[in-house]
Amino acid sequence: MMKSSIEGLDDLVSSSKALAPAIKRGKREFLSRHVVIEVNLQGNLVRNLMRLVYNNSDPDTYKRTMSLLNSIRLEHRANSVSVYMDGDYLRQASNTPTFWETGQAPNSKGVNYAFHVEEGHYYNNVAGAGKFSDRAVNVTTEPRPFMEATWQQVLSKINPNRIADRAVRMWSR
Amino acid sequence: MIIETKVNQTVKQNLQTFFNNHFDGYCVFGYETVEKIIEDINNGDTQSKPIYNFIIIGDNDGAETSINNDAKGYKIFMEFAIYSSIDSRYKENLDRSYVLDEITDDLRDKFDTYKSELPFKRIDFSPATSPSLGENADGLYTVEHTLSFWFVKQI
Repeated sequence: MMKSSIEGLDDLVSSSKALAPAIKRGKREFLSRHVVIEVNLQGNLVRNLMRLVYNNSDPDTYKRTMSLLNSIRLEHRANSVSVYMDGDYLRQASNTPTFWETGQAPNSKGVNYAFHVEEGHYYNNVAGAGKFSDRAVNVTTEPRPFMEATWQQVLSKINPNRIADRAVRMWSR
Repeated sequence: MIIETKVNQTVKQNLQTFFNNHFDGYCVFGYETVEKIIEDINNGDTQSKPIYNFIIIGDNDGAETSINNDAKGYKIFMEFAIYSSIDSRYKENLDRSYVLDEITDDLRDKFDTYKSELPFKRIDFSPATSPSLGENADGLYTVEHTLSFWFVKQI
């Protein structure tokens, strides 16, 4: 009779069974600890908005930026963390009169107000045409500087390897 | 942001006292107050001095901890961006960037020397986290710094 054995097989099997929960927990910690706290997604956005206030010669900057600051929301789901601006809040806070001819986010064709604030946006129309007519055009340009700066900072700080931290630690025990 | 208003208020009071004791300037929490001070300076109601504006950029609950045999608490981490600003009238004969550098050095020295007076742990002050921000609509020249620390809140 021939018998082969692998030393430590039982440990290996038990480690393998524990791998899936460890990765799941690692994913949870990656989002809630690494992205939200260490990378500080929301804090980066707040800081970039404040830099705008302290760096801009337009007298209305703070008034408009305050609404942006107050509209920031952080939403944590099972597989994602979103930091975004609340469109409903912004719409209510806006004092900008709406014109059909031309304008910025408040004048857009009624779609996703916050998106148009976060992205550079202006609204072109042919004078006299209705807001929803085919001659009303939403034009979206490059992201607003505070969104772009936040995105770049977040990218440079996020370490995707952190998802596997728990699994690696467990495996190496 | 999750931090409770009451805790937030205590932290602000501690920082305010610290600044009143060691700095000749205005310690504020929000740009509305900065605008009010600028208005007062413009009206001649108050003197032009550096304005230190504290903005919360991070806070979170940490691990539970024992305060003593009977009491437990939990650690709270807080992070502020501090915007130190001057207008064109403060030390008007000197270059703005020179004065901002002076203020930054002063902040660093005072935090190094006196931070033990604050009821916080692991206080970390990082000066000049942004290059000098140019003159803004309110005539302010500004440098941004970062301050972070832990403290324990009793349960």
